Amino acid sequence: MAEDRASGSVEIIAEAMAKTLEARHAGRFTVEEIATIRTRIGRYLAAADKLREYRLSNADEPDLVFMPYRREE
Amino acid sequence: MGSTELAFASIRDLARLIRCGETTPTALAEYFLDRLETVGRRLNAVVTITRERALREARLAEEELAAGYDRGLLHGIPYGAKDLLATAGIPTTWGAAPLRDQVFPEDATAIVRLRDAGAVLVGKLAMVEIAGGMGYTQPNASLTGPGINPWNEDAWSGGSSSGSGSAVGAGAVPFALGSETWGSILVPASYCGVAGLRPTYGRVSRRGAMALCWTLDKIGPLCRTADDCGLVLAAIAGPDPGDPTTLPSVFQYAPASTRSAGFRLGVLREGLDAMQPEVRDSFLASLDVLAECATLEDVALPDFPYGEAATIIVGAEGAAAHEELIEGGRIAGLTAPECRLGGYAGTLIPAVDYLRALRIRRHVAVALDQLFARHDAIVCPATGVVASPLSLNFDEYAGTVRRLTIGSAGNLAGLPAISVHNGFGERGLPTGLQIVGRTGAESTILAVARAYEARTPWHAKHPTW
Repeated sequence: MAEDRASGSVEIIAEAMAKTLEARHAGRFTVEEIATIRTRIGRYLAAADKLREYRLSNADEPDLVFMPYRREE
Repeated sequence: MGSTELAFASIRDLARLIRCGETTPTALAEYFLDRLETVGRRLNAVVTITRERALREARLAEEELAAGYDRGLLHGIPYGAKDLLATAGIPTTWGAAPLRDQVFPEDATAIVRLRDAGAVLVGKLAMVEIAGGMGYTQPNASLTGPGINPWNEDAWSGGSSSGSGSAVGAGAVPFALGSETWGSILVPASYCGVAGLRPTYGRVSRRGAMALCWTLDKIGPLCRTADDCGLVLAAIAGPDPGDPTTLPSVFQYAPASTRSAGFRLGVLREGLDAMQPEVRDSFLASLDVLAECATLEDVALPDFPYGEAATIIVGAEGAAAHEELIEGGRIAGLTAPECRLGGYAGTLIPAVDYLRALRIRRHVAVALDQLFARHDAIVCPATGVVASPLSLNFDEYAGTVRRLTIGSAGNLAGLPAISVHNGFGERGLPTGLQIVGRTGAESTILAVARAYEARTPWHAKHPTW
């Protein structure tokens, strides 16, 4: 189980992730646009932190079912 | 029947007029094509008017009916489709300027099923670009401009099925198809004063519909009445090999054989105090009406991070579904500045966070099923506010009640819900009553909605157009 992120770390991680995007799309964003994207990243990080407060066990599977495929003959 | 009455007639009424010879499918198609051209365009509700196809389908319907081949109540009835449903040879823009010339070779399954039922496609209706998946925060987020409310031209129509809500509300089409990932049918239905049905996840095939979020997208009808929603759902629902998530069961709409009273309803009052007073008053008055045909019991939703789970799922799936648009940079051509940047953050959501949301989702589904098993349905306001002014950001206008918890909870669990008109709020704008059902319980929520409409005048009211 992951430890909760320390207070204030959302901003630090958001900053780092925004830099990743800048590197991936060099020259695509202005400073203001990167700030907007960073805010959006921060919202996702905060949402993910909230999800981590909900305890799950190893037996809790994602609500997706993989179906092996075999063509009908 | 006068011209305005025709514009706001129900599907059953129009079907009767066709069969008694008072109108014809061609006359109806021409009438609603003109309504779309005038009223629909003025409300920014239209992307493409499908005149040639409409007149072809209408003539065919006319010939079939004349020959005694009756496909049912939708035969010869015009409709519009949200512009994320593929239509062969006709542009399907997803509301996005960079995709204005996008054309698919085949009809989406929902369109095919309406064609098979004899319905007549008169137009592709406006929508928020990419169904709102890039995170719009204000009404001007579509290649056709902001959706305008038929009750007040200074107000928004709601989204993302903007044109579906306003075109039905203004009598520019008898019914429309919309889609909901998280609020996109119920919100425009409530804001525009029409009935909007979000089916159970998997009830209606998504083949040929733009994917925003594979595990949350639903296709459903927006109509004048709950009964009309049932008629349209019966035509479009059902298993489809082209969409492996479709439910195997067949939906049958049989209003005459379902009960009209004796319902057990849960009442969700969460957030009521923070809502606009008129929205609250409409809801409390609705409870008095429902008490005539139901026992009412207050309920509370079990505690889960509904909104956060939905945010992560929509963010990650939306970014994946539109990766090409985002990574290729074409997203910069979207209308709303916030949408041009909205998808990038989603590309960085860790898979572990996404999977955690999906693991919690199973717990949500089980807990909500236990709650809903004790009731025929749960009722609450469809939205906490009426439609926002065109000039304001949503948060500026709606504040903390912009998103009700039941919206994220119901969509996460794939539950069916309907919004029906239940009064008016500030600036003369409609309010909506939301009726949410257990998985697969569309017949029950439609029965509750019909019982409500049978006791109230709201669904028969319409703006002057």
